[in-house]
Amino acid sequence: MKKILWFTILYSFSFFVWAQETYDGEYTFNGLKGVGTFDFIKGEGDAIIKQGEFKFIRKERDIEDKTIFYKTDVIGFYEQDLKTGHWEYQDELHRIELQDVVEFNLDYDLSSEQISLTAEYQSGVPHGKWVYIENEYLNGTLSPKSQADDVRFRNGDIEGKFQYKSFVEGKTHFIKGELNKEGFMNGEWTFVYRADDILVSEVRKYENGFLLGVVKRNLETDSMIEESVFFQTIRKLNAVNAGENKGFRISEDRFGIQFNDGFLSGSDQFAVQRAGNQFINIFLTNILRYDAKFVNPNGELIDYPVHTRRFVFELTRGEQRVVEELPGKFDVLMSTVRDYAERNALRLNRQKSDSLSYAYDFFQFQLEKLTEFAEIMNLFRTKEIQFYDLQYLASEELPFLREKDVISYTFEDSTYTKELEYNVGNIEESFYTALSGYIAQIGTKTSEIKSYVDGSLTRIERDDDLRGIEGQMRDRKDELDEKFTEIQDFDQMTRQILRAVHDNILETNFNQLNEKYAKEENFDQKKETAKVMLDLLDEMESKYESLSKISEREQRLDEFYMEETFNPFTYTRYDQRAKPKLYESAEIVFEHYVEQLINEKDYTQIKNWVSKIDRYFERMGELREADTRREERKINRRLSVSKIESMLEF
Amino acid sequence: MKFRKGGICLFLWLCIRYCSESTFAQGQQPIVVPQEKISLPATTENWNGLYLKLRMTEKWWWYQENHYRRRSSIDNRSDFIRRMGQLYNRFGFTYLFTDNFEVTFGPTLVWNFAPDRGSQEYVDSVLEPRFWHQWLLTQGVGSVKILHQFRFEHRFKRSNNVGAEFNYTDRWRYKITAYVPLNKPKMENHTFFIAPSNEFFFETGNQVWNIFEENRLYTAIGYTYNNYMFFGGHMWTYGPSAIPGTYRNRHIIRLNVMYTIDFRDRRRPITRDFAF
Repeated sequence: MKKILWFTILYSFSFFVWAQETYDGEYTFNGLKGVGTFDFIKGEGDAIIKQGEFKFIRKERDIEDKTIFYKTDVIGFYEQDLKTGHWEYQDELHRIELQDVVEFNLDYDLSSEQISLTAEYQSGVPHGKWVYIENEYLNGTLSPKSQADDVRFRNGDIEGKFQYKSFVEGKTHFIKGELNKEGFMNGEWTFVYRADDILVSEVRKYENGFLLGVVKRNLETDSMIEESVFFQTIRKLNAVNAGENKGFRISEDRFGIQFNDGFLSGSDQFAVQRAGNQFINIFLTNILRYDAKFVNPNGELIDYPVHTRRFVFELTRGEQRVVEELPGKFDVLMSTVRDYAERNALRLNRQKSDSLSYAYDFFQFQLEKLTEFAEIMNLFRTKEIQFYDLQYLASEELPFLREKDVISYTFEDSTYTKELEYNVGNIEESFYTALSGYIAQIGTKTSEIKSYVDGSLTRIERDDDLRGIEGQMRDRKDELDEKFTEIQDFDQMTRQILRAVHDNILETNFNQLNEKYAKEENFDQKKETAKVMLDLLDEMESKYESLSKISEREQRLDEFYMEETFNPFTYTRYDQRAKPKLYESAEIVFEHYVEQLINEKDYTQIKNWVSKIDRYFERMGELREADTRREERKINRRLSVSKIESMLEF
Repeated sequence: MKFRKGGICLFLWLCIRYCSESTFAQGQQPIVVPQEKISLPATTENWNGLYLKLRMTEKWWWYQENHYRRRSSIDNRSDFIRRMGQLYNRFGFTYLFTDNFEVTFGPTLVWNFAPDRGSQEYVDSVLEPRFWHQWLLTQGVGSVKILHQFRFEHRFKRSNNVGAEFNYTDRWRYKITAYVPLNKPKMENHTFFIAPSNEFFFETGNQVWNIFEENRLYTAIGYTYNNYMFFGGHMWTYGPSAIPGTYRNRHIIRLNVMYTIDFRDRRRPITRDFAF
């Protein structure tokens, strides 16, 4: 039995050793490209599961600035692909500036930054003592820049005393505080940092994650810069401690470094925390830069190892419905307002009337106004609004909830104003209803102006459309009139044709259509008539060339049907008509076509006559070389036009 | 080819000289020519002619003219057409050297009708065969076309008198014609024109008492129409009659139709770049 047990243990061990593999090659560690060496086993679907020692080395020149060199060394252990045990990180940034080469020796300046981090992990999360040291190498001297030599993590959260120091221009900046076992900021926290050339001492008072107040002093002058006490938070905490809290309780959730008890980003309570939070964020980003859970590849802190708490407020069903529905309604409204604020037609036509001018500025104004709602609407969308003390929020006089908006607009060099009145409602008592009602009022007013704009723009667009067509017609008509009347350089026949087509079509026919157009009230029918008029002008433009060439082509055909002959009686050579009977008969048809063309009063028929004339020339060209003796015997000028057309196949 | 005036004059002088010498050489029984010159009253005639020129090849033409000639009656010299005059048929081949020079040769068959048809003294009609050849030169002077026509006829001729014998004579003719276009800048199709001409006739032979046979002064108007040319006018002739010392003159109305056709069937257009 013992033998079997030993065999099983040995077999399992040998299998484990056999299954473990080592990778050594290119590797990307937390967004950094370098060379990794580590042991791994294959998991489900051949997934790589790091198991054992891990080493990563990165040496890289900056892509844009070749004088910057990065170097990263990481050593640690993985257990089932989770960091565990002791890890060491070293990150260096070197700036090398070449000055000279003297006797084959480089003369250069080197300035460097070095971060050394010793970390401890358990099951993939920070757990244990972390030591952070940041050094700076300048002018041949390595000196400390910042350090946190006793940061203790517990299951991913910092606990106990927290101290971080940095050395800037001979001054020590630091953060000092304490976190309770649950990772919440607790007690007094001190931040010393430089902001706007002032060395600031910021002291915060936390109670189990709740920020109760902030005092900022100028350390160099010892003067008070700012003081903010979060009374509403203190009151609520007292109520909770006394068990008298109604409608709210302490949330079980944990939040980041930014404490919020109903502060919008523009509020003083929000702003007072900004500089200190930014300072601690830099530190947290530096020490957690190798842990993707906390810092993303863009170097942004996405999770915190230090926490604050918030109250959570109860919502009625009606309020919950508002939270669910209001963002959607707001988005529709925002989309409409943005659409009209950016509508080119409205912008271009805003000076056509006082109302349109107002409408344009109305949408510009509303777009800005609604943008102010974006933050609170985002709180609705993320449901974070439940952690906001709305009574306090309402008491802070929300700037976008105004009872009256004054919109100024300019029309014809004069500036006018219009007032829009809103019923804000009881925002402190029923925030959700009041806010929803307010946005509904914005929607109603927007809808009214939108309807007006739609109607006006449609009218304008139609009028513009017609005006555009009229302008186009006028220009083209003038152009064609000029073309058809400037005929002094043409021969008599061409002058006759162009004059007749001008009089019959461009004048009489066009004027008939123009009269119909003028009398027409219906836009679509008016436009249809305008299209016919444009078609007439198109037709005349396209046929002008053909019309002006008829005589010239006839003369060329005349020449084509001439042949040189020698008269043996007069002993002279001259051109004589070839196929005279055929030609002279065809001339009857040609004359008929030209006569019809000259008398035509319907523009749509012009192309028919031009087409017939084209065919005449084409066919006569063919007949010139063809054997037409049979036709010539039968044909004569006394035949009817249709008979000649038939015989000669025009 | 350009016509040389000096050359023509020399040619005419040589012809006249040769004819004169021949006349004297022939004089077995010299004809006595009265000193006084007698001019007969003018007679009238009407000549109607059809002229054909048929182009066979680039250079060769068929030439043909057929005349129907009438003359005035014996007792009325001005009625033009009361008596039959001649049926006059001339044929020939023409060789067109250039547009300005051609030579024609061939036979002529003329039926001369009796001056008093039905009279026992005359044969109603007698045939006068001829062999003829013609040298024709043209020249352009501005818009006017000048024709110089040298025609030579070798005739076997007899009178209509019963029992008359055939005599051989040679006829030497020179005609100068001017075609003057009236409605066109030059002679071409559809041209009205006037054509004055003058023709000298010389004759040599045994029975010839005067080598000067006739002078014909002809003024015609005409019109060219495609392959036709219509041509007509008045011709005045003057010359010695058969009676020595006696001269006749005639007023002749001539009406002619000329027709030409090109049998080469060359109906190519003259303009090649015509495009539709």
